[in-house]
Amino acid sequence: MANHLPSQQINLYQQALAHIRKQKYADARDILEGIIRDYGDFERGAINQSLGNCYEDLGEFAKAREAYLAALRQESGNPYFVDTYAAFLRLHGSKQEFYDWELASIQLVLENGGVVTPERRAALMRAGESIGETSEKTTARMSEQFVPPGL
Amino acid sequence: MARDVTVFIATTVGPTVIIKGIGTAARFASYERVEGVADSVMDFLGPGATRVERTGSDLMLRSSDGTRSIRLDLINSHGDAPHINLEMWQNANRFPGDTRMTQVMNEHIYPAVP
Repeated sequence: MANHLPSQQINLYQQALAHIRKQKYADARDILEGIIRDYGDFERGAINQSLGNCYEDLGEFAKAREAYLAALRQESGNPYFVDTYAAFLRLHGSKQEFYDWELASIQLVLENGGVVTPERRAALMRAGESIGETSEKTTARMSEQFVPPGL
Repeated sequence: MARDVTVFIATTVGPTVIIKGIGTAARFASYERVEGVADSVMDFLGPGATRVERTGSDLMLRSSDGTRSIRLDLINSHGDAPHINLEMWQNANRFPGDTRMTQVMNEHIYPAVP
């Protein structure tokens, strides 16, 4: 049986989350970068995900993208990770990227028994139309099985 | 399901797990039977919690509003000892209709056979 993670690792991660709660993103970023450097992401992508949140709030968008993708490579079906990356791409990605990941995120919501708001559905339709996808095709694809795009 | 094992709560603040919301703490005993923890888990998630598929955990449950989740990593514990994660999330609200969540709490619970 594996041993407990050293408490220092968990404590550092919880310190970073405490900073995030207080919106002290630079402090959280510094801790999270140290965790990744010294221990790697021992929380199945959650540490990279939190690091991406910090980078995004600090305006470091290229780093945020890499951190979000690192999280997704560890757990591509995590709805929190997929939803976050889709929303990030809405603000900082190409129309095609946003469409692909928002579609994937909605597929995951539906697979997990969730409900997609009309606003979110409409945003996806608009994104699809902007890249030449018909609303009929987008609607049909929403009910397809979730596949993480391009990981 | 009742199991004859005990658990201890490993946190940065001793045997305390924040389960009612940020800033409001509920205190577990240091050692507690698993069925008691199961009741606390359901209190933590609230009504309407759903199972999340496609994660690496043995089981992941999420509250109806997505602000709380629990992961059972008892068999597939990704290099750690078997444990349970209690997680809390806040809406990022970076644009109208933004549905994404930022993790703000992640507590580890390690079951231990007495």
